[in-house]
Amino acid sequence: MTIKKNDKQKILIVDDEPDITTALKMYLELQGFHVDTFTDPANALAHFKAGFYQLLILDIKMPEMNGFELYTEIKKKDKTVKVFFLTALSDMHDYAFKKEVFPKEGERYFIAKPIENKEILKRINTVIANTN
Amino acid sequence: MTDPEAHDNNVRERTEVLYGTDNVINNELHFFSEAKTRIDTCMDHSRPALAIGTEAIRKSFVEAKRKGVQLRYLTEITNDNLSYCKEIMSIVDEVRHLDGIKGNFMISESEYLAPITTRDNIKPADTIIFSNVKEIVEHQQYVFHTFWDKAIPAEQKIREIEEGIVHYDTRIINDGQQIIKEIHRLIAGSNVLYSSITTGGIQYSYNHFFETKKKLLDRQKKGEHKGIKVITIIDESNKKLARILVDAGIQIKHVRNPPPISFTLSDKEIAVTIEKREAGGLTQSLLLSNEPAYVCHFLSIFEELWKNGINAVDRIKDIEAGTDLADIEVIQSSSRAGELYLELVKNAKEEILFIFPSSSALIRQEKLGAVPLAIEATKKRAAKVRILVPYNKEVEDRIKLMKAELGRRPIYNADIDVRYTEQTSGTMATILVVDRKVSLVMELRDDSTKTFDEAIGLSTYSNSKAGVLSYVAIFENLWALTELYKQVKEANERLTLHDKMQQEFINVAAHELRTPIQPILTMVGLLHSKKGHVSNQQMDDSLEMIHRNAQRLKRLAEDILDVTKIETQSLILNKERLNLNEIVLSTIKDVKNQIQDRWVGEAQILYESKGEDSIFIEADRYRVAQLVTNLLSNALKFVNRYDGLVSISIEKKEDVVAGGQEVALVSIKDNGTGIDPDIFPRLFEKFASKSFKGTGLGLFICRSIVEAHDGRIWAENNRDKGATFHFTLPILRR
Repeated sequence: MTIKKNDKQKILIVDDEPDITTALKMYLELQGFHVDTFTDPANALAHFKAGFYQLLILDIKMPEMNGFELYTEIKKKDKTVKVFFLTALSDMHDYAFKKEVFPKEGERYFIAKPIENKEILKRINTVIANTN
Repeated sequence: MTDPEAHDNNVRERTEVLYGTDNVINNELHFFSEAKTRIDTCMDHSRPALAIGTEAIRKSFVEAKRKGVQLRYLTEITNDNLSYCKEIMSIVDEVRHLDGIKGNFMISESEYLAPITTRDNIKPADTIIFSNVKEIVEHQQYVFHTFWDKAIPAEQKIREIEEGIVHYDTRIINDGQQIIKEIHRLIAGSNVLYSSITTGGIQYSYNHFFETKKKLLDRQKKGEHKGIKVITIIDESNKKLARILVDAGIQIKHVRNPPPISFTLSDKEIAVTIEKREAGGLTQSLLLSNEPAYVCHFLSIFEELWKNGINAVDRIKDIEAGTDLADIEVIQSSSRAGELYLELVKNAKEEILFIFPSSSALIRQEKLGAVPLAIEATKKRAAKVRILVPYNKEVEDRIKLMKAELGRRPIYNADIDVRYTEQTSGTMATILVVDRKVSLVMELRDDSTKTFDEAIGLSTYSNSKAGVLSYVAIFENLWALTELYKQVKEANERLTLHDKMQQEFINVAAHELRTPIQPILTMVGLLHSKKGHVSNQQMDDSLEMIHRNAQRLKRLAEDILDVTKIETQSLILNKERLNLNEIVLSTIKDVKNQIQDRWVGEAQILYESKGEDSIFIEADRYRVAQLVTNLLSNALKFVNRYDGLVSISIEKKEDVVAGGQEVALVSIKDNGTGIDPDIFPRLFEKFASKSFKGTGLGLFICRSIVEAHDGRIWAENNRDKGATFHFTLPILRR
């Protein structure tokens, strides 16, 4: 079955750990998603194509720009794109639920790492459908 | 026998003494018959019985009366002669009574007759004096009149006797002998005896009245007397005497300030001794009264004194123990307290302790001048001043000013030490202790007022050793407590800081652990489910990724465990005699083996030994290896993979910083990118610099290992390129 590139859901992953982006990219592409990765948030922002991605997966703790800040910037360009934040659980306590970024039920936006493949797939499917 | 008188004026004037009872009676009878107008009789209390009992005499009285002679009779009417007096009253014109009348005589208009009674008053006289000398007769008339005028009517006296009415009387006696007699009388007739005696009076009392008092004590034993109580000043000079009196059964109490006039009272009467110093010596007067109002008055004075007196036995004990000089005084007036306060501080020689109940108290008393005086004391006499006061900013500023004042003119080792208490230190009084000998406690009545006089209520002064030392104990306890508070606060702050750092470490460590796990999970899951769909290259890359991250986890786990051991001081060193050079060389070999890795390339590690080939240290082999490995790995991370050069050298040196001790100095130099100046201050701390693929704990562990061996570690950027890390380890002494 030929899958048209245009039909694929597109995910943008930004994490300063290359192994994480590489691994996630490899897995999610095998699941039928189109995945772009960046290890540098500034770079990611510069290359961001508005309207192109359905989902963002952003690491929170990154040097120079953290995940929330990146998301805020992206939101200015693209209001509809959905987001998950990858976090080592302590991050959540550090950052709490930033009210200006999130409305009430903030937990929905957090993915605690490390996360199993099945689990991340399930979470992604709650917001976008894969075409596999 | 004399010639009877003639009726004319030419009778011979004579004064005779006649002997013999018969003679006496005859003369008396003659006297009666000779009297024409009046007969005045003055007799003591024993005579009425004779007057009536001797028929001849009685008849004479009756006859004289019948003849119209005016008869006046003066005597002392008592219970015993009452009936006789009554009879005399029925015969003569008037009878009067005078207390204690003595001396028997009769006067007519021209003659004087005085029967002389012997000691034994009951029998009639056997000697009699007769005179008709005009001067003598007139004189005796005068005497009689004087007595007569002072006397009270017999009816009144009889009524008093019969109805038991006491005659109230206040009089003053000046004659020394009489005074003693009256006091004896008072004592003997008492049912209870109270005395307040001034200094020296005890001896006088003992000399004159002890015997009489002993009789009272005997009566007391039989239950017939209520006892003797005495108030006086007991001191060294009379304590022996006091003891004698106490042993005899007299109750004595010591009072610091008895009234200046001695007095004694019984249930009925008071005797007050008034002493006057006149030219030549001391004169005494005795005021006697049985007026109930006076007796009551002195009784209440006595009881008040007795209430506050100190038992003689205790007092003597105190004198003998030397604790008698203790003085405790309650001062009602706040201004007086203020004066005393300043006085005490001014005279301090060694130490002044203050406890202020509030910061306002200190400020008020600074205005009073107390605290400045204390400062004077420190300056002039090197007294130590310590102050406990609750904290507030104003007080702190004042104290700073005071200390600055001191500092300006340092003469002696001036010492003013202030500690701040919690506001609720509890004392509501200013406590002053000077030289550990006297204390002054001033109650705080109203803290809101501005002046000392308004703020202070009652004050208590004490120089009683036990009391003063109790306040010293209170002071020292509070003093130590403030230190304790300070330490607890500091420890708490350190703990809070430490907790924060621990939390920080946990957060970062958690993140570091979780990060490599993610790729492992993803890749293993992926390979597991998509085996068929993965190319060989992808498979290799995946396994490589898994391996790499697993290794990273391993290193991180080890490092975190090490850090935990270091932090909880459970790092155990297994020290042995090692050849440092040998360790370094073998470590270099190991590192070279490990770094068959894409990120090193052609980089080289050079070894250089400056000086001796074998330097011996006492150290833990494993840890030293770890130390060197970490430093080498660290250096390698920052060098260029192509021309990177890491050189390691060892030499013996004298470490100036460690006091000239001989150490082994190891230096690891690289030509890499150098140390980022931002990180420099935190270089050897946990997670200071997280380099790619590093744990961030390596340098922290290095430092811990070096310091655990009593060495030092430091780093610097090279002048040209790269950085150099140095560490020292103490050399094994032979």
